Amino acid sequence: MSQIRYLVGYRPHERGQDALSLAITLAQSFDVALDLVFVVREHSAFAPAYPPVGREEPLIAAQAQEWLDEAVATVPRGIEVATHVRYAPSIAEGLMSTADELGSGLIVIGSGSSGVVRRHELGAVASTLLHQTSRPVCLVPRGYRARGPIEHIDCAVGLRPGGQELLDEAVEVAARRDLPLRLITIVDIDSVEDVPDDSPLDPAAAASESGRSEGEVEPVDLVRAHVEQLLDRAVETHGQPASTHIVVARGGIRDAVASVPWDDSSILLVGASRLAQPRRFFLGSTAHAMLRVLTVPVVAVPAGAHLDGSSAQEES
Amino acid sequence: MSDTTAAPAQTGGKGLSTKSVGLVAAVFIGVSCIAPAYTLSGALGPTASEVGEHLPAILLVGFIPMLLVAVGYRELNKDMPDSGTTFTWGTRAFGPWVGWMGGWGLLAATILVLSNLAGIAVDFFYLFLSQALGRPELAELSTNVVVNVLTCLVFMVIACAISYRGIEATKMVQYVLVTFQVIVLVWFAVAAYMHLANGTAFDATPPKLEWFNPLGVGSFSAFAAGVSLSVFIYWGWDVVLTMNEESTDAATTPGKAATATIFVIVSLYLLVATATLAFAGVGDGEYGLGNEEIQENIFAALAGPVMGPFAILVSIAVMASSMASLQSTFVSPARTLLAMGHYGALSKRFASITPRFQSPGYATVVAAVISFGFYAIMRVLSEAVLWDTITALGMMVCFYYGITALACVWYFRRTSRSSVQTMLSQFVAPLIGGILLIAFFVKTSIDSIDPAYGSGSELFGIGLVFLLGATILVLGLVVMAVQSRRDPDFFRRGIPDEAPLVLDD
Repeated sequence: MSQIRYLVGYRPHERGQDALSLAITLAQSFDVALDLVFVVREHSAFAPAYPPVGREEPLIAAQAQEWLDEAVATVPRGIEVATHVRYAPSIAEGLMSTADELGSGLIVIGSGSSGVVRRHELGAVASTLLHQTSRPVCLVPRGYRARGPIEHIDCAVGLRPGGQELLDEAVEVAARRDLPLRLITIVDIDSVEDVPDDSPLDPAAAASESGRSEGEVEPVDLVRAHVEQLLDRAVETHGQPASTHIVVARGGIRDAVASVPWDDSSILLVGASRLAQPRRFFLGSTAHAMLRVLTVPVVAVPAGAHLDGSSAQEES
Repeated sequence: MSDTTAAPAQTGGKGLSTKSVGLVAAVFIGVSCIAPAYTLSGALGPTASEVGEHLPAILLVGFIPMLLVAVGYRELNKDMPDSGTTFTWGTRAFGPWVGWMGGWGLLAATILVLSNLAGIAVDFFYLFLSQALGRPELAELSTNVVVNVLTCLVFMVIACAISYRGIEATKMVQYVLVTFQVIVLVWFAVAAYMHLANGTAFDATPPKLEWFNPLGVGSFSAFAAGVSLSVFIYWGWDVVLTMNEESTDAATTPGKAATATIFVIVSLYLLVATATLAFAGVGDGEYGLGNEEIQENIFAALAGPVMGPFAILVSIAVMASSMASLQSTFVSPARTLLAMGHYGALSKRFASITPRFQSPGYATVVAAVISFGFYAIMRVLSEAVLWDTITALGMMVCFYYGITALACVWYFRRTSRSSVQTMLSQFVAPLIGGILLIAFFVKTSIDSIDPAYGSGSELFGIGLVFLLGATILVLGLVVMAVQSRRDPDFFRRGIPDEAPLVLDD
């Protein structure tokens, strides 16, 4: 199997450095090659300069190549890295088509705007990517600096159908590098009667299993049982991570996120909403709300996508 | 281990892609660049003051030198699609000194047009307010120097910020703007003719064939001045010819679009010009085109009497077209400065690009500061700042287009004889066009020494327009001399042929 490549949407400012910093860590932790990409935005033909002057994009491309070369100089030895300057009508489009061209397993981008508080900020590029790409996207919070290799994988497991695919991917990655895996689920219902009909949770089955009546089943237990089931299936196919740990957090998303310990040596995988068109995804509402309070890097994985770029590559 | 590639995201060739512009879209782009509502408002009066009722004739023939130069422009643009345009081409053809001054001429012209655009936008902004709120005294605010200059500052800052952030007008915005301008201008013309038919025109002057006779213009001075102005009137049209890479069919679309655009524009201009003449005459009465009070901003004065309560539409059209142009005009000097900085013809800082917005940030801000400073000084010095800037602008456009056209002749001197077609497009057309424009430039420059020239603004007994033009060119020589001492590299080597302008894949 050929080398897995991750794409970094690089800009020569702090948020670009954030993205590069995490990408270097990922490259070291998962033994992948990096592609540093700068997309030069082409001017719209509908906004010509008056009086007419020629194209400035080639000058910007020349400058971009210098920036990329400077960035490459900061990448530690031992990591395979290439640089690419590409023209596209928008930065998001350019990143997507370049990722298709290179077969990237992950698109790493920095936060949308500058500021002092460390947090995620979805800019136009991130929003477009999350809505349109069929590849995993890594959102790096503003002010992030990697402090060593990735030591464990976090995965936010939702209760919607399709959680299995995401969990499969998380288990596969953790097992491949022999890392601990932590599964985090947020429960925002108080009683099993609130379980929606389309949920894969089955209170009746859980009740009969534990020998209690349906009303006595705690939602937390129900969720835990469900996640364990998904996990077992994933481990069966993809192998055993170094360790697995299931966290069921309760309450509002802000409180739930705060109740779980996070650290910089992990990345969090989140899934995509099933509401989106096939192979076009956007973050589910829970994941979106989590982004607002999280300060760790988040990898959004659309349905059917793999971090080695395989599925997306084959079908595109 | 590092390997470097640079290539377009989708297509091959030179990298820049987007073949999305068909014939209709190209015509819209062309008309939006000409900004007819703004142009007519600013230039109709000064042109009428030079050639009187031969205004339609000048509009017809004034287009010819522009066409001849544009043909050469297109050839150069195909060969060297560089954001430096006149600067790059002049340097390659005639060496760094002439190329530098050509670039300076282009910069000066854009700075002048920025001032004029902002000035027109300010006037119509207050006129619009007064019409919208029904309070005529608000329109007078634009004559208050402090209010006027501050409002202009606000407009400039907004336009500069938009350019700095790299925000661009969309297809829809351009379509709406152009359609609205054309409708309002046609409405104005029809209303003016209705007044003529109903006998309610201010100075009813039925159209005559003589209006279309360019030989009827009294003197060569008037003719040269008229053509200089009409070069400004058609300025922007040539953008269509340069759209090779964007066009769905590079071989035919630009040519067809240019023809269609010029047909639309000449028809529109002739319609409005004859209607204005028919309604107002060339006398110096209250609304006559000969009245110096109203010449620098014709529509501001005539829209009310012609269109009654709907005059506010004219205000909106002119305001929208000048503000949109203000924004797109910022891009032009910024890119020229970027190219000049890049090649070391100006300080390297001009070549700096903002990492976040990918725009020539420093150059954009400098262009805004100079334009605003220039406007503020002119507003204080001159009673007729719009008029004087338009006239000086016409001269400056003649200067740099003249250099561009002659650069084309010289640059292609070895290849132009290879076929009849290249003979015409690379030699004959640009040579005639270039000589005509340089001749108009020289003639207008000499005439403008007379303090009575144009609006009659003067300083130390010398016409302000001449002082403006001379100051700009002398200042250019000074800056060039300083730069050549600080960084002589460019002035020794020019622009190397292998300049890394286009990345290969």
